[in-house]
Amino acid sequence: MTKVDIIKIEDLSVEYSFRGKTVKALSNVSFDVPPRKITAILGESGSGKSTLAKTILGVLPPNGRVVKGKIFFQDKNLLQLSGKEIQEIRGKRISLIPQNALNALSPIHKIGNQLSEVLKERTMLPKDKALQRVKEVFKIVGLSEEMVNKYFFELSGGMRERTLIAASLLCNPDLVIADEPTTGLDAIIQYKLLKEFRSLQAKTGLTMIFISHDISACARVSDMVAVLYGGFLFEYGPSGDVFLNPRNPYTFMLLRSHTDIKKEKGDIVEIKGSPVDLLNPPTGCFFHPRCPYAEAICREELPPIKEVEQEHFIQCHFSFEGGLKWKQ
Amino acid sequence: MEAIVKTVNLKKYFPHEKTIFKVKSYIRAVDGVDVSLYPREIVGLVGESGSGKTTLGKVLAKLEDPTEGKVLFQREDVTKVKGKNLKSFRRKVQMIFQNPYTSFDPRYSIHSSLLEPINTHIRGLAEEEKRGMVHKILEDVGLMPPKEFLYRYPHEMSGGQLQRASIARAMLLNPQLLIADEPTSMLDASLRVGILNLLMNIKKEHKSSILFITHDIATAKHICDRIIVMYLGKVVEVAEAEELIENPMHPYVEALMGSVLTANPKAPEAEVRISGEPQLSIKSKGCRLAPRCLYAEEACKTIEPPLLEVKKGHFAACHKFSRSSK
Amino acid sequence: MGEERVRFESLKKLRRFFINYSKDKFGVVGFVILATIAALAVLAPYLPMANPTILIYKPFLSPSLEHPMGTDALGRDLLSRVIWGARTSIAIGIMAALISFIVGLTLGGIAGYYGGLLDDFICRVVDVFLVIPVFFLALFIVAIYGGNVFYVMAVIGLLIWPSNARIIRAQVLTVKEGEFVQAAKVIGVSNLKILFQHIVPNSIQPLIANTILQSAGAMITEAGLSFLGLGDPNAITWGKMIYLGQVYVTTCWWISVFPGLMLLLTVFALHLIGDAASKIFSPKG
Repeated sequence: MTKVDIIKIEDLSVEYSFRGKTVKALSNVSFDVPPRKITAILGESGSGKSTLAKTILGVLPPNGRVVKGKIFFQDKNLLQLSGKEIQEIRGKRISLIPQNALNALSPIHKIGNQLSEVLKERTMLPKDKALQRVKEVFKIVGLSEEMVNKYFFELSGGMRERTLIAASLLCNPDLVIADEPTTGLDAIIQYKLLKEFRSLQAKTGLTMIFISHDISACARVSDMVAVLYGGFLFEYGPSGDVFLNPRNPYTFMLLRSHTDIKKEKGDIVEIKGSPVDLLNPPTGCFFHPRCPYAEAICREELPPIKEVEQEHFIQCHFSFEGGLKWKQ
Repeated sequence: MEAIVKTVNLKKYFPHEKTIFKVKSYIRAVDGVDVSLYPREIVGLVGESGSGKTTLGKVLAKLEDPTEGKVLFQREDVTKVKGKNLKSFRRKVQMIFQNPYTSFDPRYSIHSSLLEPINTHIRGLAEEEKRGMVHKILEDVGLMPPKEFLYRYPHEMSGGQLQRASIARAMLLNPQLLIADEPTSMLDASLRVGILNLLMNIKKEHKSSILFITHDIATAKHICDRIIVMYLGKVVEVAEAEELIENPMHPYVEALMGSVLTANPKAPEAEVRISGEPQLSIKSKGCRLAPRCLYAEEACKTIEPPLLEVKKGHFAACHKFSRSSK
Repeated sequence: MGEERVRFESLKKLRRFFINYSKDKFGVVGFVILATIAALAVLAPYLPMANPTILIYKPFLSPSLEHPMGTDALGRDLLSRVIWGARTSIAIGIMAALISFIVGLTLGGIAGYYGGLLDDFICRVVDVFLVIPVFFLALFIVAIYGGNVFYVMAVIGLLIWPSNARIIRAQVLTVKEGEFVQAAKVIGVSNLKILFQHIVPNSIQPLIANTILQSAGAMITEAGLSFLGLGDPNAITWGKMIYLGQVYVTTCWWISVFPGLMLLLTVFALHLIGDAASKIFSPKG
């Protein structure tokens, strides 16, 4: 890849052991996260997107292990760092905006105190300087300074999300991973929040990974998008290309099944079959049982990775020159 | 056409602050709602959290009793109905829920769960007849072959399959109204279409009406004939689906339409003329949107706007329209 | 074909329970002890041992090969008395626990499900019962009305149900908010059927562990009553044997000690089982 990428993921495969069986959560995933851009990871449940985030952060559960691959962060392979070295990075150089649950923060402490405690822990700043920084970051995310005295449960969904974003920015990270940041929020709040993600990113030059199952949210917020299915990276490229001219059948079918507001009523097509059962995956390409373009080879062999356009990659046996049929 | 369901000034309040002896304040979940549902239509009930849409659904399904107001079903007042009449009402109005996994008793097989409505309402059927009914409805909802699914337990089915089973259970006795509370919200994107197609099929084949409750107006567009939009307990706009989406009249719906995202990275951004977040109304008078509405004037804060027919078949509750009609 | 599958599934659940249970070493020990004692109790009439009521032996014999537990004051073989005593003591424990289970389940289930004044009333009744010391009330009733075995069972059972009622009520309050209960309501299933066919089966697990422990407690209570001379004059129970032997405890200790040990062992086994069961039934994670 070109430029100095913040994160380079090379041929990553991750497995879980579950009740004596092996589940391939990620298989041969390779892509780059360019700096100062928002890269979306789009996938349904079971796609491996949470596993990917956990692997980058080094917080895989005990029954998970990295089978092969490398994750380069500023020239260091994260997967080979010692526990101490990862501690230095996690929370400071790479931070996480966790899923917005009511128990993401402690209910019995004021949010200002919680955040400044964390900051003191990570940077050895004195108490007053830490609180100062918290207020600074609150301003950046659109929360008023008085909010430091509130409790987490007193806040609305939108404000809670902003608090979690603020927490992730405290140490001026190089990379922020946002895990389903707009899921569960009302439409108008979601819209505003996404606008602010973009303006925040433009203002601070932050690099972001935006994980979501929401197709439209990914389309609107990201510069690059990686589409995962059953642990495979089926398509990766600039959002404008992938969403408007998808080259992988799964992406194409996903977009065709999407109930988009701008589509004509009824212009939605079902993807037949059930989502991949990772405990009993199909042979060859995991999507072949549901793919209308599948042929014999899809059942027999894993699909190769190809570059179909500049910086636009797919993992498929076919290339669909000229694109798949797509109506806007 | 005669409405099958009509509500008259329906209210459902929940106690908010209370002492031992009395209630000090209420959450006004549904606050004076008049809606009508007609035969053979799919009506979307769209609203954000706190809008009261789920509560309204539950009151219509008689899972909750209204605090005030009436519910008329086929012209009969069913607000306080009990006993045998309640049972026969239940045969005509059914409901499915958001999470298919918690909609079924985890200890019952699908077969046993599906037998329940039959055994509750029909006496004297032979085992084969019952089995036949169950087989047929499983085929109708696309769970084929039925034998494959009958003896499974809920945790052995995927979300999409289980939601179909939930629909099967509700449609077994051919209700006239199916209330669907966010039936696709917990399903993966690729599975939603299947359920939507199934519901549209049900409207056609079983000739029922469906009340499709959702927070996602985009999904509502693809399945609904008419859409009712609620905000903080009140109906703010009602129109045919495409009309409402193309020409929203109420400022809230306008803002909603501006906010809805589309999977097109190059689409232009719309202006959203609304501020802040909704506050669960505890003691407000006047228009519920007034604190956030950028068009608001003094009257909006004290007088509730009535729901008026601004265009044929298109209703909106906003002073913009009552002013111009003066 | 499908019916078999449903039965198979319930068997699978049972099998899974046994597999989990067998992983708990203490639980297995408890089970083995209890099973042995219970087997002995059930097989008592067929075992090659002396008749427990006939006074043919010399009294006050200390434990020997011929009489492994010795003989009591009236010349009765203690080993066979202890094994026959197991029948009564365990029966009382089980029956009292069963009565408590049924009453507690019904009242707790109704209180939790219907709520309102009924719930308030039942809760107050429960509170009153919980304040009363079970043993003394049992004592009182048995002293006045006589110590028939069935009386003792019933009295104990009817005094210890409140803790079961509380457990079930709490479970029911949680389960009844579940969506499948709403689904059953919307279908038109009657309240009573919902309560007993849906809510109770999903609430019952913590009750099983509690009931096992209650049977142990019931046995001790009965022993206590017998020890004080109340209790059925015609039955052989461990408590009664301890009572009869207490006068001689300094010289012929075996007359009281062996029944006491058996009681201890049985109660201990029940506690191990109850603990293992409650660990399995407690919420996951």
